[in-house]
Amino acid sequence: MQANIRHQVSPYLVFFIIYNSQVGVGILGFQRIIAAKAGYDAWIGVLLAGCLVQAFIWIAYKLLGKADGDIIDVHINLFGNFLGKFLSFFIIIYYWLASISVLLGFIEIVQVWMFPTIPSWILSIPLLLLMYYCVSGGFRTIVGMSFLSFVFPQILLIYLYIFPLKIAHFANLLPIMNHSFMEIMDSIKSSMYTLAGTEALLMYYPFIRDPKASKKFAHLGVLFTTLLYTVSSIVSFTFYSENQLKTTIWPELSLTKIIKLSFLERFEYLYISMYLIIVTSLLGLLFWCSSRGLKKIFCRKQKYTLLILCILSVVLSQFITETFKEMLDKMVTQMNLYIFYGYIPLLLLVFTFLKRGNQNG
Amino acid sequence: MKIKNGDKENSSASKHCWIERLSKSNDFVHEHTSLRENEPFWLSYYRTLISSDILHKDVLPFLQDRLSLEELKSKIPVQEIILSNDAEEIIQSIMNGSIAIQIHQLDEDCLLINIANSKFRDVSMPMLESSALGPQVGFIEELDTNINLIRKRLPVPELLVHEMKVGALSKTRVAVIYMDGIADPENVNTVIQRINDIQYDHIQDSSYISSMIEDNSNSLFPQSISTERTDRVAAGLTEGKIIIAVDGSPNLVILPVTLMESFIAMEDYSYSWIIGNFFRLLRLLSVFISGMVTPMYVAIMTYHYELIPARLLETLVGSRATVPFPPFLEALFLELMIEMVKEAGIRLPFKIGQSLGVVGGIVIGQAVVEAGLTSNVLLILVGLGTLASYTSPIYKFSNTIRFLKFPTIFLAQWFGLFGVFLTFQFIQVHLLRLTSLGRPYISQYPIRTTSFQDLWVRLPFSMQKENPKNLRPQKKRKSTGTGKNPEPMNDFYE
Amino acid sequence: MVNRLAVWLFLILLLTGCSFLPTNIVNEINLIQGVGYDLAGKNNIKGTVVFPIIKKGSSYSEVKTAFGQSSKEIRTKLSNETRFRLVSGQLRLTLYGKTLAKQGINDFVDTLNRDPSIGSLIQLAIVDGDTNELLKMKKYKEENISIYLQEMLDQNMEYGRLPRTDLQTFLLQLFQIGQDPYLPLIKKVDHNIQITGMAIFNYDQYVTSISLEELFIFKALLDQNRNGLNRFILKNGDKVVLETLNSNTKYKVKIVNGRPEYIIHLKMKTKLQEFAPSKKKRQAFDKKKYQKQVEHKLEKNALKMINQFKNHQVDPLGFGAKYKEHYRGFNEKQWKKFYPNVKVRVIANVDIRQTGIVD
Repeated sequence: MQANIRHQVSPYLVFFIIYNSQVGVGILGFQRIIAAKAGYDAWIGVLLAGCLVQAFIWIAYKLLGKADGDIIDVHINLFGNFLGKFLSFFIIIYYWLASISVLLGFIEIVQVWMFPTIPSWILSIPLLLLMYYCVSGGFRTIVGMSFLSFVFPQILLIYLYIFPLKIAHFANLLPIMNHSFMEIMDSIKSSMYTLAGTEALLMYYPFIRDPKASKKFAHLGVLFTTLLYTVSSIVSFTFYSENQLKTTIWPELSLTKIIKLSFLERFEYLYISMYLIIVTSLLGLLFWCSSRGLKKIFCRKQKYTLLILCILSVVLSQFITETFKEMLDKMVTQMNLYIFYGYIPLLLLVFTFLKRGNQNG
Repeated sequence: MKIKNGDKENSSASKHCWIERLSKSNDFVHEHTSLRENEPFWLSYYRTLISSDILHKDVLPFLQDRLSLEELKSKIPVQEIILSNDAEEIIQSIMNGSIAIQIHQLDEDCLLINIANSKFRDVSMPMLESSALGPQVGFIEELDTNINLIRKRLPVPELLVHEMKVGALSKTRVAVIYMDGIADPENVNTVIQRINDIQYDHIQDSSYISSMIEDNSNSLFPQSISTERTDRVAAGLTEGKIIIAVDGSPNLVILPVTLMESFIAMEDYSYSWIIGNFFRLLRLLSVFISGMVTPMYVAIMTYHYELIPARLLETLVGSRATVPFPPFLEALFLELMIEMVKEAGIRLPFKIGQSLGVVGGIVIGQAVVEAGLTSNVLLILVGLGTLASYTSPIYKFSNTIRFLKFPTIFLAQWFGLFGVFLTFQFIQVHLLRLTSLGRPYISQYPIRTTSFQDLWVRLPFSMQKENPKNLRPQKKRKSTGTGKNPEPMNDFYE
Repeated sequence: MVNRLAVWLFLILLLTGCSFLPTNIVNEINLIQGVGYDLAGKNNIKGTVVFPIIKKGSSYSEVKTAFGQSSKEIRTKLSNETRFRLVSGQLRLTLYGKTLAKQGINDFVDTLNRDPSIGSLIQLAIVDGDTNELLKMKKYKEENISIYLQEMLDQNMEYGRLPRTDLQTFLLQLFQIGQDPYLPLIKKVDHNIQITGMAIFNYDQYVTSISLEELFIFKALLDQNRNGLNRFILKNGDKVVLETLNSNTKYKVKIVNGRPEYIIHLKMKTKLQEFAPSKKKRQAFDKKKYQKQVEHKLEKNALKMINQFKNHQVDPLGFGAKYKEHYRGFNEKQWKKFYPNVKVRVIANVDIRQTGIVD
């Protein structure tokens, strides 16, 4: 069930795929959401959420390694053709909803910060065309994009933390652990949305050459993003006072307003434009997962499933309302939690149990 | 080293392996002067290395009679004649332009007569790829001369030439040149296969061939390097690249290549590695500047006035104070004008062209600014961008960069900075999808250690130990000396 | 097929897309660089905007005034009399009249915070007098007064006695629990504009101010002191001018029965710049003696200033925030009650390192 070796990627590249799948528009605004209840202790929640994701990676590798294929193969193996495909369909829908949520999030940022009057479809069509071009190049192109989006914008953007850190108030973080366990739990729950994305592993696993060797890179990737999110939240926490953060919708973007170079001011405009690179590569990965899933379920060519998904996304992005968007984000968070942190571990248990039963019988 | 060892084993097993080894190449001639099988003489030589004039006038007439090799040696009026039975020596001197004469095909003894060709059409200086340092020899329009130039730089029998005729009417001679034992045979077969598949009436230049066998012919980026520098070709061959030479074209095609190679000038190797690296990275930077500066100007002046620092505001706005056009038209107008000057400069006869460059560049530009039709800041930016695009040593590549400016300007007008990065991302995806002979075109991905030895940066020669992995070379390591020089006993002079 | 469709879609999009975005071509907008607000009667605000008219080689600032209820309303009204649209993306300076500041400036700061096109490094200042008058000064017509004032304030914050303030720090302090903001106070004196001190706020309302002389100790207490000159007139009338080389302030918080007690350690390494003994007679500089006296003077001044803050119920030094950092049971209301009677000790430690090239 492994993919053709020509389409496979080296194990170390999993680091970049994991990074790419986790970093989306969430990082621009999650600081406010996690601090809503846990206050300035929320960065602990991010670290803990990172541990949860590590556990998920471990489970996913166990499950997929046993089945030696993607999640659809696992389902078909366990539940037979029809029921297996039916169950996989929900996961595919999740991928699609997650990508819509990213797309809408980015469009909203561009509309608020740069072009208040621009209609959504004018932004979604070029983004999706770019994404389509990327996906039609195959999985290797998507991985290449993940790699480049790490090298070019992300390294640069991390460097920009120096500016706010110069005037940081580290005392803001004191006293540490001033919140109850339940409040920290809440921040874990809200960081799960931003840290989500590793689920794509369930689809691209067969495309990794030597998956066993890639495992450590996957864990490293999660470690990197967890640290990135932790650093990012600490930078925001030390830059804003607590009540100020709670009024700021995109703390990470507002923070770049203080960057001033002798030839360029107001870095946030450049920042948003550069973020396009990160967003399109993430969209590429998620759409690749969902269109490939549909291809396997309905036995249609991937270019048609992808095209249908794209058209649906454009239409949706144009007619969606604010309330529906909030609902969508909530839905994605819930689905992510229940499917990947409830259902998948269960599936692993069932799978191990049944396989052992088969061997005995 | 390895090749040499294998060689000696062979020579003990079969004395005549050198004929077999050499005849892999198509320009090697092994012929019989007599009609009957058992009679003398057998001649072996490289057609491209010897002077056929001397062969016919001074050598062949003596071969009519049945003479022994010693008698021949004293009779033939050529200075450099050796009698030898050492296969290694025979190969060496044949590679240097000797002709080998045997009485019987299976004889060990050979008479080696040096009749190397020294008279050619004058080789010229490279016109497009000039450099301040390094060899100043360029290829010319004659295929044999070109192969001779390469053989002079790499006188080893592993250098093979595979000749073909392409073009239904032109019957152009096309030679595929590669190093046996280094180049990936799969690549060689692909190239030969693709050239064989070409169906076209006439081939006028090597660019015809290169664009016909490219992986993606709709791409703006050259997937092969077209060069007239002998040193670049020779260096490419040793790394395992494949060269296509076409009769009638002074430009040889190098395949497969990566994007970064368009930033490598052979001059880099003439300087200290630190200075060489500085200039290589400078070229990379200039391509970014060239592609981004004008679109950025359009985007910022049209949409994002917030980005301008207070001190710059007056300069930028003041320079545009009397300009009646939007920044987009202003930039488009100026860019087109510069392209026109450049285009006319090439077409015009040499002497007029020179004066036109001055007229176009300075006088028109100055007049346009004075008339208040464009801002002088933009004139500086456009001039800088155009200049920067020429830093790439590959002419085709600098054209690509300048062409790409236009769609970027359009997108900058429509979406501001968002549009600039939209094109940037599009180019990135396109480059990722692009392949050269099925090998990834973009060299950043996947990361290879060899890219840091001599691609992105150039390390000192002692540290360039491997051949580029993306070519899948058969010979993995360069013959760089390691551990040969003992560490000095004292760390300082005492 | 799909690829060709994509290309067509893209082309159609591009051809139609261009008409959807309103442009901001730099020559076709008026860039507001400075604004000022004054109270004019009840509930009425007088707004003044300054924008440059840039011509090739020369430029001057244009000043316009209008009345209204809110800042954006004033801008809309002003558009009636300007050649191009007014935009605020290049804003560098906002001034508030003292009388307006006494009523609170939260409403005005809110729009600065909300508008994405406004940067967070812009300077805010309180004007002792009429902002409109100040911005209209003839002398600065050619000079571009907003940039002039912004750079004047920036310069004084970097090298002079003013502590760092801008929109970001103002908002930070405004929202911080247990901290009140402060802004520079400027005044038109004859034909010049001068910094006269620091305006101290209670939340968003101007309450009191500290004078230029006290700014040295204020900046030291905020731990932002770098290098600056300060003159001390000591007990017997000796004048000593010291240049700070290095300064360091530490707050120690002790919680006694849930109430905070503060010890402020002020450490300063200085260099003697001028020494004028009252006896008008050259004498050698007695390091130890004067160090002691200067320390004493500093402690006295610091306590005096802190008492002034306590009396006005304002907390620009952030005592409350430091209390919160060290005490988990922090309660804002309780703190407000504690504050006027809170115990503060200042321990100064002045080290005169160099006396120049004479003793």
